[in-house]
Amino acid sequence: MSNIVLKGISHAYEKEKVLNGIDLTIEEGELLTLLGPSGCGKTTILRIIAGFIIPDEGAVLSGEADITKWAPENRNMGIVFQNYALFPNMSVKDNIAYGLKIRKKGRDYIEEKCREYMKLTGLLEYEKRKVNELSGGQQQRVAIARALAIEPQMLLLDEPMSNLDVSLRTRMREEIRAIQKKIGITTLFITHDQQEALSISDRVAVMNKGRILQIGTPKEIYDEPERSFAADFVGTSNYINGHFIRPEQLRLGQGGEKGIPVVVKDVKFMGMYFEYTVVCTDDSGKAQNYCVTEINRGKAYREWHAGDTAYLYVNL
Amino acid sequence: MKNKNHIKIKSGLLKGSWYIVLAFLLTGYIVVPFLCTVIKSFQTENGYGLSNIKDYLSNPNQLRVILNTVMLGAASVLVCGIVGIMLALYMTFLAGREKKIVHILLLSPMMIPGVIVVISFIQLYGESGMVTKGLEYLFHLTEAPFHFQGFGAIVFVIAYTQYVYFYLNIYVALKYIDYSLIEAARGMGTSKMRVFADVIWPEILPAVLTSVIVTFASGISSFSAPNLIGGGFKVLSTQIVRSKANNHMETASVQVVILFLISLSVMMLIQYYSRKYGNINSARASAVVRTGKKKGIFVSLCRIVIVVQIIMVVLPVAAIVYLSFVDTKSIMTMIFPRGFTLENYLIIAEKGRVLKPLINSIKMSVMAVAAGLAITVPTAYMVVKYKGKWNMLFRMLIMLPWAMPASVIAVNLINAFNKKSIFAFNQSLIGGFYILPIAYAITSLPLLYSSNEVAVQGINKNLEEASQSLGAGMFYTFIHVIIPNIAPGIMAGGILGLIRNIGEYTMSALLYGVYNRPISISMVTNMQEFKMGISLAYGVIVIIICYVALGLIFKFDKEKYF
Repeated sequence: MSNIVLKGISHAYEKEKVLNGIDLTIEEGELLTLLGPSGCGKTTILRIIAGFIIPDEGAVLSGEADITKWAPENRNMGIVFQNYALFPNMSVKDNIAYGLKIRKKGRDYIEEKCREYMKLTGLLEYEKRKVNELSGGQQQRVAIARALAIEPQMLLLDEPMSNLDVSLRTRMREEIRAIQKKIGITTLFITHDQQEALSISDRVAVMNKGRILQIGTPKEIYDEPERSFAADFVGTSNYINGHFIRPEQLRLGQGGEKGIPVVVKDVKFMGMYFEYTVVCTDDSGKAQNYCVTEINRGKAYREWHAGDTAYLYVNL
Repeated sequence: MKNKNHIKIKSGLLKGSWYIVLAFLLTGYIVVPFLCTVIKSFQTENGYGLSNIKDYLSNPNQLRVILNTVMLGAASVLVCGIVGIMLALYMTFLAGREKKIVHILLLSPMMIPGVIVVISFIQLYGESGMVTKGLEYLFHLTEAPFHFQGFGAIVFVIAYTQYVYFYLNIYVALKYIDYSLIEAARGMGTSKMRVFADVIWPEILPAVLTSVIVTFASGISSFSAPNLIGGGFKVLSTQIVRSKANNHMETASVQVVILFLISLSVMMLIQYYSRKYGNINSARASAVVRTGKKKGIFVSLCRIVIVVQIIMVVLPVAAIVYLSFVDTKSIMTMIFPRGFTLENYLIIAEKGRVLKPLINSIKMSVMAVAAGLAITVPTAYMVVKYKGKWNMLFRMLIMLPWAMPASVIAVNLINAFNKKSIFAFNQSLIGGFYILPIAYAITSLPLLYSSNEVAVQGINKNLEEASQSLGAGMFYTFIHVIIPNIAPGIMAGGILGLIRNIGEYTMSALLYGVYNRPISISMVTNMQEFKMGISLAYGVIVIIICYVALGLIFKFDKEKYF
């Protein structure tokens, strides 16, 4: 295994530019997530790494080797597609064994590897099932096992959770992370779901309109967003004195010296917390909205109501 | 790296040699034969000129034949359109529990070769047919109540055999109508007629136009009906066979060119029209729910049409099965023959000479379909995957026989292969065994190609990428992933092609020889030699083969038909 480096990648479909000067290094063994809205170019990056697209400009390096123009079948990348793309004419085991058969591995080796990866993904009892007899979560496991069985130099996951329901999604992302850590495989994960990105990744790259806006650990991305897009796409934020400040970093109080006087405009009860929209009038007379969240601590908590006057504090 | 280059060169070689073989076959068996016919039509005793065509067009009898042909095409479209659309509407919106069995019955004429139906119709409605004689007996008539001959009789046969294209295409199109649209329109107080005009018609228009093309083409190229019950009503296809029989290949070629031009121009006109008006894409949002009362004039009319249609479809099959178990003598002498016997079948089973045509037909059909699939499956895959002008050109050539009535294809082949040809490795094919399977394969190409293309388009594109990413090259992926996943579509198209070839009559009449005499020819000659029983027993065997095949198609391609 080695790291994967994208150098100055640009690409256009027809005349529409979808990637614009992408520089990115995916370090050996890390899980890096590309996070961005649909159409931002994240899947194009994955397809360029996989070899389905040759970029108009730039290079893809695997360690020392320039693999930009290599055919997909020669790259040894494990891919999990959004719709899984399992071979419907094959059983679970045959799907997993497919890549190994192409590599002309011996029968015993194939048998051993299939068992290993079926065990890893919890599929042992489904070995002989046809893939269309499986549930969405099970199909995803097959897709992961199939991608891992070839012992790829890198695992590429293209929005793998988007076809799963919410509770399964949370469980699967934990499983994926556990498997990834266990075998230590370099992984590129693609999603538009910020929660998913923050919870699973070693590093996150936030993308918009064909560019990478910010790259860092989940905590860095969340706590110190560099641009307003990153700040808004990953959670909600308030722009105060040149800084992006998260709603939970603000607090409402009864009065005091440093608070900004505001009026509560709207209250949303979200279960775990309350979300307030408050408005303050600045020196020039312009109204400014802020979003504040406060944890619901049960009976001890005194909630605010629309129309209340309050003071806004920054909890830093 | 050396290994990788090797793989690339190998797949390049594979693709290159495939294109060469494909170009060789399509040029040699479709383009060149047609050009031979065109050249032949200009060939006169002293060089080349327009005199054949001038002579032909200045003869009022010949102009009448052309007019008859066009009339037959138009009448087919009209009759089959009305019947087919009504049946499809009824089956979609009104049919209840009986739906499935009625649907299968309505589709079955597609599976029965035209020549068998015509022979059976003659047994029913001909001069000494059961229905004719029955009516005479019932009403004490001194002569037959109708003459089952000429234009009317041909249209009658067509109405009960060729409506299937309209019916099936429109039935499928109706499946994709968003039923909530109809409910919304009804909710706004729109009348049923307006709902049909404003909501349903625009949705089914593309299917209607496709059906018009297919039905018109089958109308102008129909041969068995005009040949066997046409009487004095002559059309181009029958005249082509006559010209060939009299060895007037120049005249036959002129007729072929005219027939081809009629076919092509109508096809292009309608395709132009459908490109202009027929571009409707809609995803089905909600299924048809049959509710409400089933009354009204239209509903009653549809019911009558459907009952008549089913009787008309079942009757010939029943008649042919019944008569095949009766000895020929009692067929000839009794109104309702009762001399039951198994002799007709025993003769076929026992006498090798009598069994041979059946074996020939099965063998030739299988060969034709196998060859057709070998050509169309990879082409469909290449076209869907790469588009590109070369692939599109090959696609066009493969679809070209769609515009060629059977008699056109046969005459083209005669003109190209009655002498040694480099495309037949310096052999003459006429009179030999292979000319018929080749002709069958050519007519099957468009059908096979389109069903393969639909199947390939239906494949999840990521499957191929998944296979590639796991290390498979193009060829491996094609064999292990693409083929198994389009197999149901390939099989359904292949079986349909097989059925059409097994009872093929027009090309067979023009091209058969001692080595490849097919069953359709034997049926007609046996009938003409008054060995009715054998002819009908052949028919029953073919029908059984076709119904088994029909069952298989339904199994493979449920989605398309139900």
